[in-house]
This record gives sequence, structure tokens and C-alpha cells, in this order.
Amino acid sequence: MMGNLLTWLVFVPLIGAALILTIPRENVNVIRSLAAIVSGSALVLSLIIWGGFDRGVSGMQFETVAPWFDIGFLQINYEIGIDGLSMPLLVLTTIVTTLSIFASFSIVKRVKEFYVWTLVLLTGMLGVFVALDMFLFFLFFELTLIPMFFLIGIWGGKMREYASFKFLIYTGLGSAIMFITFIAMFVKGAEAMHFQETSFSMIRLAEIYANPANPEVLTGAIKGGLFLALFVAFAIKLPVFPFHTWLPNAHVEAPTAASMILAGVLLKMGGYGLIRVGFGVLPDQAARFATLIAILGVINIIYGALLALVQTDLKSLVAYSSISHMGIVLLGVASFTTAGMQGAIFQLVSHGFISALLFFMVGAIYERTKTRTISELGGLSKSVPILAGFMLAAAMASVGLPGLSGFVSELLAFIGIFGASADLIPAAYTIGVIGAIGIILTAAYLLWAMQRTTFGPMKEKYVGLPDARPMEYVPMVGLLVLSIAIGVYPHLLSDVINTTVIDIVSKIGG
Amino acid sequence: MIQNAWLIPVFPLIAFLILLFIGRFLKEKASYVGIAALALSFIVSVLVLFERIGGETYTFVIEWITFGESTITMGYEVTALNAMMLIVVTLVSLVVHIFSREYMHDDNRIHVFYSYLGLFSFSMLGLVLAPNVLQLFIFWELVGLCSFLLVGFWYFKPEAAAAAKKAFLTTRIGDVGLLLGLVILFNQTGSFDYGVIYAAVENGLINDTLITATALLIFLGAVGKSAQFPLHVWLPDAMEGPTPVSALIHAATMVAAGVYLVGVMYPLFLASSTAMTVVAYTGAITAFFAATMALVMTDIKRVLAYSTISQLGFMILALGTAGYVAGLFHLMTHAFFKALLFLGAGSVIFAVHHRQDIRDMGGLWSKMKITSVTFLIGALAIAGVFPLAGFWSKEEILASALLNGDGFLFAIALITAFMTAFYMFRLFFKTFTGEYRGGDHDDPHADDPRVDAYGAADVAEADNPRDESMDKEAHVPPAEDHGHHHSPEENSGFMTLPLIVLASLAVVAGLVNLPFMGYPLEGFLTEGLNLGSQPHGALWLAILSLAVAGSGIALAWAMYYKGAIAEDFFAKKAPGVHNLLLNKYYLDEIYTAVFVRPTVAIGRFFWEMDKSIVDGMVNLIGRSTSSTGRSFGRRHNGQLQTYGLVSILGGIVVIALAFVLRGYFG
Repeated sequence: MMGNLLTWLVFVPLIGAALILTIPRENVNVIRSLAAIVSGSALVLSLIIWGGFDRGVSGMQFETVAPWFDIGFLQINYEIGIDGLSMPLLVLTTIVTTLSIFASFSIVKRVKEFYVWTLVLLTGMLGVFVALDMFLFFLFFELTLIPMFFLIGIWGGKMREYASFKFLIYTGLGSAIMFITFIAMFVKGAEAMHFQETSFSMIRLAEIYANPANPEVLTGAIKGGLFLALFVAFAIKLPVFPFHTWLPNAHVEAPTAASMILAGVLLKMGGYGLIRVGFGVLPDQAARFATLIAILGVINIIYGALLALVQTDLKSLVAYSSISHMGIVLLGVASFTTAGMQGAIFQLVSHGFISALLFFMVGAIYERTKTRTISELGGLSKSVPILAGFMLAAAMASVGLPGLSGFVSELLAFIGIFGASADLIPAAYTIGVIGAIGIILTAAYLLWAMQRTTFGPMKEKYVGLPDARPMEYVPMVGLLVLSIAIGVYPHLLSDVINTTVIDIVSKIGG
Repeated sequence: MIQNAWLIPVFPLIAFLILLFIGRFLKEKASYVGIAALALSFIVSVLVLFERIGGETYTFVIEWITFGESTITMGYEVTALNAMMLIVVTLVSLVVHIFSREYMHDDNRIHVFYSYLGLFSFSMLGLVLAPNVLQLFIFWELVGLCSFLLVGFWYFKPEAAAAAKKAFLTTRIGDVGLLLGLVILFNQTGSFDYGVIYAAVENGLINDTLITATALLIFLGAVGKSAQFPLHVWLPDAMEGPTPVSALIHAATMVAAGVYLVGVMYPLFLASSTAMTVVAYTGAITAFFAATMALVMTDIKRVLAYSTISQLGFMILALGTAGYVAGLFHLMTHAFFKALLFLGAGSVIFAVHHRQDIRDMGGLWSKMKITSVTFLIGALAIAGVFPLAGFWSKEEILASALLNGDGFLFAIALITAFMTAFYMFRLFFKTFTGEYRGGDHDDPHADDPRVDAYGAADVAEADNPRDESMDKEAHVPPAEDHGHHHSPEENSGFMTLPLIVLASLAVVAGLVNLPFMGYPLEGFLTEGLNLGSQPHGALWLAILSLAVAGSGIALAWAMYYKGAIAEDFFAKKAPGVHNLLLNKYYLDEIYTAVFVRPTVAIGRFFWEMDKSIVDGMVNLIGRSTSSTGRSFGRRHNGQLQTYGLVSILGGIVVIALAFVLRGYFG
């Protein structure tokens, strides 16, 4: 039963989607409630798993392995399991998705399809975080593309068609690179083992690469090439400069709920993939390119922040802030320290909550003012004080104010980069100091945005706007409370992550 | 009781939470929630102090986060220094809570105001009680948040919104330095605990370069928070906040946190003579420059703001010249008399219908007896007149600069002490003596600090800042509430009681470290710490410092009371200097030109580059590889659709192949 829990978790949303398909499209409220119930059940399941998760074990838990099919020597298994890296991301996924379902109750267009796609998306995301077989991982990864493509393309803004195709092609390209790399990793792994006991399993491949029967096959050049190809594949998703340009388009055009999921969960698949496959299977190569990763991280932080500073559209400001904040993940993992690695994972979770909240707030304000242009907003503290208050809180969380989760990830990432070994990253201090400038820039663009939107004299046209509706409190309070909880008492999260982090880091240290 | 010291910050936190959730139903009664909480905190602080005197340091921590083998803990600690700070913070906060009851009662967001005050008090007390420097940093940022919220309390005023942002951002620059310093220290020592860091420094576990580097980085945090040159520019603007806030946050407590930080990290600073020199000179330069600007400001709050910067500079100077006790002693006495002066200013501003320009005041001595007398006591105290509190602490700072510093530092300190006495009594005479110049007209000079009486008499009519750009709902303009601009009169007990309490402290607070009683405060603060011997001045120094203060007061008397020297005498002699001071050395303009504009320009450049080159390449690749593009009417989207279809089909084919070839579900 414990093993099957994960399978249930992954497929409950898909079953829910199928159920919704049977309901006549007029029964909008039934569809909405059912979607919330299904996603809520997944949330409950993920919390049960969280409760049963053994904090002291460094390997995989809740494992299920079943043979699926084979093509010649290529044996594909249905292999799933979780460790301290995937556990928090599973809960993040179910929480953000459930709250985004609440956030999308105001959608009236093609409601049935909307929730079907959202639930399919949920299965895809959960699948990515539990899959241990690389083929399975790839399938789930692909499975997230199509629903998001439709969510942006059908329910998006004016430029939705362009944005959705750009999203699909760009990240689809990333998937293609990933797939080819996976095949190459498998083939080289098989070759290294003289085609004995080959496997598509990440766990097995990591062992093979660490201890090949025929080491000549796995030259530094080959492993380096594989790692870089993997890095590019996941860099598109995270996204890493210069592969980020799909993101602002996608975010600005996406409906609120899709933005929440996109920033809250989908981007994290990039960071997760990088750590799970890149660092998991090829740790020596990850260490080899640590400096490059750290530099890219700093570029992300500064470049994203500078671009956020000059945005005129509030939503694209938040989108660029996501790029900036994902730089922290790169900085953390590159350091190869327990602090840095934990900071990276913290950032994946923390940014998931904070960015979802920010996108929700931008959406709620847009719904009322019909504008996202920063210069046209102003004085929202007066017209919609509660929304403005949450907006400010979300901005402060994003700034990295202590007491909120973003601070913990930044602190850990910086402890990591400043503690990185000189062999690994020669100019770690310089990189860290430049990265820290990003902290000032982040405060600059967010506070400037707050000054121009929530502060200042109230605009005539915004008099009498309705403030937060009861249903809107669910995502607002939910996300903010989670950010505060982790920020005030990070032990909640570090407790689950730490053993796995030690394990990942020890692969290079030992 | 010392084990229950955690209660001290928790009371205001509870008040904050109560007011956050049900404050709007309480309205004015919200003030009582806040006052009660701070009264309890104060009582517990007193009990804790008595237990700590003659007792020992008490520490309690729990695990906060674990990574690898490292664990960071959080909790609370009662040391001699923070036992003293608890008293200062809770007492000033309590009287400010009481004062605001009257001062803010017109404001229909009074409950929000009190909730922010509660959050601030919680954060400031949390900062003080922190057992490690990371926890200090956490609360350090939270007090910054509260400062942001309270400076921007009248968010509908564009100046307040801008000032709030400026305060947060400027201090943030220092905070990043502080954070980096802490991170490096952590990597060197494996802990944020004060004790571990002290021991590591003492045992030479950190190399000299890193000690200097971390000390300077940490000091950068203090420079931001305690408004030291060159990051002081935010504090005068922060006067856009309500005056009780200026008294509590921007005079007595939060801005002193930088001084406190240097105090708690003192062993680190002592280990680096470079760092000590930087600290001393930063303090001296700040004290001097801020005092020069205070000479010409006409906004009562801005004079006090520059005075605060200058006095904080004194404290930093003391710490930089090994005057540990001198710096912290002055922190305490300054908290009392500067809070007194700000609340006195608030009382005046309230009585003259929310005008802040001293050219519109005058003659209030006879109309507001308690405010006038208490303000005079505050002015005497800050000027360093015997036997008031400021005399004792300032004299020790002078001794420290003389004995451990150099001639330059000592001279700067003396000149600054002279200017302090002068500008404070300029303020006093202009405000309280002579004829009342308020009249019936509405605030003609309106809170424009750059306009001085001698410079420009014909200032354009500006609105009362609190009437401007706000709806009546948000805040009933005080003018209406007070009726018909009747002449100023003394305020109610809510406002005068705090003045009396603080004035008494401004008189007696110096007693805790009397030379002929063997410097009791010094014994308390330095016990068990290896901070070297504390400098003490000889009698001649005390006499010299009195003479300096006396001559400053005398000059102000001659110019602003007696009229023996024309008020614009110096302004006419050196109009260039006068203008430079009025414009605050053009630092705001310089920063905008050197930092703000280029950063935004770089951002714009990158954005253009992003759209044209980085994304342009993407679109170009998309276009050039599409051979079927021209057959589609819709150029852009047509191609993308093709690509989309190809991509989806590709995905489906891959998946389908897998199933068709050997597929079955296991």
C-alpha cells in the first residue's frame, strides 16, 4: 500500500480529469467543485506521504518497480520513488495546483476543458517528480507541455497564440534535447557495462557511471558533453539566460491560474531535473562545470533583476523576477555544499509559493482595474486595501525579507557559494559578491513597483473597486501562510531535505 | 523572571496580531491595546534588568535549521548590554504609544498605526534579545520593514511613498554588506553565536584580512541603519512619517541598532585596527557634516533628523576610538533626550495645526508651558550642559576621541559639539521665543526643507502636506478638527505626560555612570568582557566641553533671541556655503546621477538587447528553418502553428512508437 500511494497520487488527477469529461459542460459548479475535490485529494495524499516520509533515510522511499516493456536490450520499467529532493516538490505541486484551481473559479470560458487540462497537467507534474526511469520521466515531462500549451492558448491574453506556440516549441525543443541525451546516456551506459544489466533507471545509471565495468567508454569528453546537453535541456525550463525568452511571453499571456502553476511548479522541473539527473548521474561533471553554473546563476540574478527594473507591465516584472530568483538555485547547486544545495531546494519550494502568490495578486488586480501597466495603477492601498496588503506582503517575500521563506533560501545559497571549495569555484567570493548586488536590485524593482501601484494618491477610476472576495482568500492566505511558516521555522523543510542533500553533496566530496 | 524574557517581545506581537485582525472594529481603542502591551513589556524588562544586575547571562535556544552537520539555532539571551537596551526600547516605545493616542486620534487608520507600532516594538525587542547575530539580522530587517511601513503610513502622499522606498533601499545596501559579513564569518567559525565568534577572533582562527573584511562589511550594515555618511540620506526624508514614529524609530531605537550592532560585535572590531580607524572617521565625518546641515534647516523635524545623524556619528566615533561604554552610554542618554525632543516637536506641530516650519512658529513659551520647559531640558541635555544626561555621555566620547583617537578626531568632535549647541538653541529660540508667527494663514512654507527664511521669502503657496492629495475619509485634516485656527495651546496629558517622563530621564539618566560613583554602568556593561580599559577625561576636558556648549548657546542667543547679530549674517557672508548646506551637499542629486540613472539605463539597454538579439535569434531560427512559411497568409503565427503541429506530432509519434513496437502495461 505504501508503495502504491505514489501511484495513486500521480493518477488520481488523471482519473478526476476523466470523470469531469463525463459531466455535461453546463454543470459549471459541479465541474469546479469536482476539480477542487480531485486536486484536494491529491493534496491530502501528498500530505499523508509527507507524514510517512522517513527523514533519516537518504535513498528512495515509497518505491515501486514494475517491468513495463522492452525493445531489444532496452528495458523500460515503471519505476517511481521519492527522496528528500522530490518530497517537498510533490507537496508544492499539489498545494499550488489546488490553490490555482480556487483562483480560477472566476473563469467562465470553456470551464470543463480548463479543469480537464489542469488536472492532466497535475498528473504530468507529479509524475516528473516521482519518475525514476528516464523514459517515464520524459513521458511525464512531455505530458506537462500539452496542457500548458492549451491553458495559455485558449484562456490567455491577446497574444496568446504566439506565446503558447513559443512556449510549446521552445520547451519542446528542450524536451527533444533531453530525450536524445537520455538515449545517449543509456547507450553509453550500456556500452560501459558491455551491455550487461543495462537499465533506463536513473538510480542504476548513476551506479553505472560511478563504477563502469569498461571505463574507457565514458571519457571525460563524452560525460562532459552529456552533462552540458542535459544542462541545456533543463536550462530552458528553469530558465537560464540566454534560454529564457519564452518565459515572459508565456507568463504575460497566460491566465492567472496557469501563471501560478507555470512559475510555481513547471519552472521547478528544470531545477529538479538538473539536480536529479545532472547532479545525480553525472556528479563529477556537475563539479567540473560548477564555475560555469555559478556564473550563469549570477548572470540570471543580475540580468533578470535589471530587466525587471525597467518593465512597464506588472506581470512581466514578476516574470523577470522569476528569472532572477532562479539564479539563486544555480548559485546554490554550483557550490556543492550542503548549505548551497539545501538553499537551492528551499528556493524551488519557496519561490513556488511566492511567485504563485505574486501572480495571483497581479491577476486579481488586473481583473478589477483591467490594466497591468504599472503607470496606470496607483493608490491601490486605498481602493483595495486587502489586496494591496497581500500584494505588499508577496513583494516583501520576494525581496527576501526575513521571516518569509525567500530569505532562508538566499541565506543558504550565499553561505553555500562563499563556502564553496576553491578547487571547485576559484572566484567564489567575487561571484558571491556580485550575486549579492542582486539583493539590492530586487528590493529596488519591487519597492519601486509597490510605490507606483499600491502607494500614491488613489486614481479616480479605481474608486469603489471591490476588494478581496471570500474565495480569493483561499490562495492568498494559503500561500502567504506557507511562506511565513517556512520562513519562521525552516526546520519544517530542512528536516525532510537534509539527509538527501548530504547524500548528493557527498558524491563529489567523497 | 529572566527565563521569561521572551515575554517582552511577545506582548507587542500579540497587540500587533489583535489589531491586525480586529483593529478596524476597535478604532481609537486600538491605542489601549498597544499601550497595555508595552506597559507589560516594560514591567517585565525592569524585572529582568534587576535580575540581571548581579546575576548572569541567560540563554535559551532551539534548533532552527540544519544543513549537513551545521545547525543554526534561535532563541533569546539576556546580557548586560541588552538588559539595558530592553529598558530603553520598552520605555521609549511605551511613552510613544501613549503620546500617539492623542497625536493620531484624528486619523481613521489609527488602528493600523498601532498595529505597526506593535510590530515594530516586537521586532526591535527581538533584535535586542537575539542570542546570535543571524537572529539579530532577521529582526534588523523586520525593523526596516516597520520603518518602511510607518514612513509610508500616509501612503497617499507621494513624498511619503518615495521616502519609504528610499529608506528601505538605502539601508538595504548596508544590509547586504552585513549579510555578506555574517556569511563569511559563518563559513569561518561554523556558527552565528556571539560567543563562538568572539572565541574564534580571540584564538586567531580567522586571518587578519578576513577579520578586517568582515568587520567592515558588518559596519556597512551599521552605516545604513544608523544613517552614517554616505548612506545617511534616507533619514531626513524619513521625517515624512508621523512624528511619534520619528521619535521612536528614527531617533531613539532603530537607528541606534547600528551602534548596538558594532557594540555586540566589538571583539571583532577591536581585532582590526583598520576597521577601528574606518569606524572612528566615519563617525566623526558624519557627526560633522550632519551638524552643518542642521544649522540651516527650517523644518523642525529635519533639524532634529540631522541632529540624530550627527549624534549617532558621535556614538560611532566613540566606538571607533575604543570607547565602548561611552558609545553605548550615549546611545541610552540620546534615546531619552532625542525622543523627548521629537515628541516635543510633535506636540508643537500638533498645536500649530501641523505646520513644521520654524519660521511660522515662535512665542510658544507662554502658550505651551510643559512642552516648552521639557523641550528646553532636551536641548540642554543634547548640548551637553552639566548636570544633564548628555553632558556625561558626551564628555566620555570627547575623552575617547582625545585619548585613543587623534587630534583631528578630537577637534572635529569639539567643533561638532559647538554646532550642536548652536543649532539646538537656534531651534529653541525660533520656536518658543519671540512673537508667534503662525497667524491665520495656512502653512506658507509647507515642509520644504530647502527653503530657508533668509534664502527665499517668497515661496510659492504649498498645501499643508496632510491636506494634500488625500480624501477626507482617510484622515480628517487636523485644521478642520481643531476648528478655527485658534492660537496654539498646550496639549492634553496623553502628550505632556510622555514629555515629563522623558525630560526627567534626560536629567537623571547620566547618573548611572557617574565618575565619582565609580562608573557603575561601565562596570555592568564590561563585566566578563575583554574590551580593554575605558577612556575617561580629566576635569579640564569637562570644563572645555561645557565652555564649547556654552558658547554655542550664547551665539544662538545673540542671533535668534537678542538679535545682536542678524539672522542672515552668515548666509550673506557665505551664500555659496549656505546654499550647499541647504541642498544637503547635493548628495541626493549625485546619487541619482551616479547610481540610479545608470542602473535604469543599463536595464533599458539589456531589455532592448533581450528583445532584439536574444529573443531575435530565437525568432530568426524559427523563421529561417521554416520552408513552408511563405505559403501561410499569417506570417508569424502561421509558421509557429506549423511548428507547433510538428512538435506535437513528433511527441505523439515517439510515444506511439513505444507502444506499438512492444507496448504493454505492466
